[in-house]
Amino acid sequence: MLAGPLAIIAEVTHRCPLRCVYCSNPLELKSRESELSTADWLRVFEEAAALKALHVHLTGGEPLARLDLEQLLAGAHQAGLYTNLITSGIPLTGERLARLVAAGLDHIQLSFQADESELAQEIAGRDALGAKLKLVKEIHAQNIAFTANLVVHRRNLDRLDSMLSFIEALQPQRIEIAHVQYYGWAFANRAGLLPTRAQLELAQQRVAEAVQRTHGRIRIDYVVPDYYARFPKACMGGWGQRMMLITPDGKALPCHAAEILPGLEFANVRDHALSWIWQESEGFRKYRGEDWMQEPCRTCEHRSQDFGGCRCQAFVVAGNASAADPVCHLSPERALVDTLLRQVGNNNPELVPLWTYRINPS
Amino acid sequence: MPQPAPESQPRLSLGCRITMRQDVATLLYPEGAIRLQGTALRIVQLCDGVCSFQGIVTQLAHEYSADADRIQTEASAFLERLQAKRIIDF
Repeated sequence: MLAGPLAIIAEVTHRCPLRCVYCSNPLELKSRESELSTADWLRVFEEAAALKALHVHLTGGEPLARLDLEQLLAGAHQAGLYTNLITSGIPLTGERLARLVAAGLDHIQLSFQADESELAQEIAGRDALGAKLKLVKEIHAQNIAFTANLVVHRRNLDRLDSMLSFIEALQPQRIEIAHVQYYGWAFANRAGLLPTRAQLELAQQRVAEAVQRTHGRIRIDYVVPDYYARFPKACMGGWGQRMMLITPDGKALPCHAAEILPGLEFANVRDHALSWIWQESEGFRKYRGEDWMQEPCRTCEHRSQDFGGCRCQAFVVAGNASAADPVCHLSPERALVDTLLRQVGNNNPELVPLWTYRINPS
Repeated sequence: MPQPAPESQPRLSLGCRITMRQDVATLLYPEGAIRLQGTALRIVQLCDGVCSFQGIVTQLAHEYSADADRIQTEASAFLERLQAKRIIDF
């Protein structure tokens, strides 16, 4: 018997006041008019809890843009889910935060682009650092569990020492240092975001030191950049194994980027029950397990640990969604990734990239 | 991080809670969950921020009719692991 999803990623809107160049949303954003209603989401949360899901991650876009966020949180909480709000914090007043907590907010994850305004503004397309710092004070005043998230890449990694001091001083229970993953807008901006090998090696050392320094005080989770790895990441814990992502207009996906894969249909929660989508729909069955694998994955001893890596990366880099993730050193297409990394090494680090800023949906 | 002192009062950290569904206890925390049963569940239930670590050990030794020194060693190691993940504070 197939176990249900452990967590639901609820992309409640694609609207966002920031325009981050590394946004994981797809280039084709869902319009406000197409968004699921309050009642739709509440039904989704109840069905998810019935499937024994434990967590719901409310994200976007910026989930605060939904004026019914309090109702959505209350519904998820009453269904028995652990509620995590993944937010830019723009715009969030102390009053609204208190309402979200009263509705059942368990934890807030607040993202930071850099430790100083100018660079943060270059990355986010808007000056937001001051507002985020104000919000941190409110989070502490209201005694809310808090993760500070820092997305790192070529453009800010040279400031990692001061960014780590900055983010530790915010006194979160948890810090997430995440290298950019190259999907959506981040893929469009990949040339400006890919770190150099020297940056990466220093980052690994500095993060390891920070883990030691903050032991028992802050839990640090580190998301590695897989282009430099020897083995691919176990993307989403395996396709259709642990996670279900629901887009603002109700499509249920096995991961953030799955809609880019050609020839795959994904069911909508408006038309189907979550249990059917999870167990029976083509979109979730397509790459579940090992039957779809080609060589070298099919006979690889690592296939039960990394599941062949990421299907979307195999498609965008190697042009074949059933191929081994091309970041794997065993992939016949690994040369494509190595060529990219060599180009990064040759780029002038002083040059400001020509960013493609994320837009807002209509 | 040191082990819990005898007089410390272990408690669940912010954003961590136990949920019971169909007689299964799960400890929920940011970005994770642990299924708890037996002694582990009982230890976490006793971490109420009031009872001292010494009190928890005495209680467990009583409930399980077990040697207090052994309980102390095992409970201490368990709480230390949870503390490193910021699931238990003491």
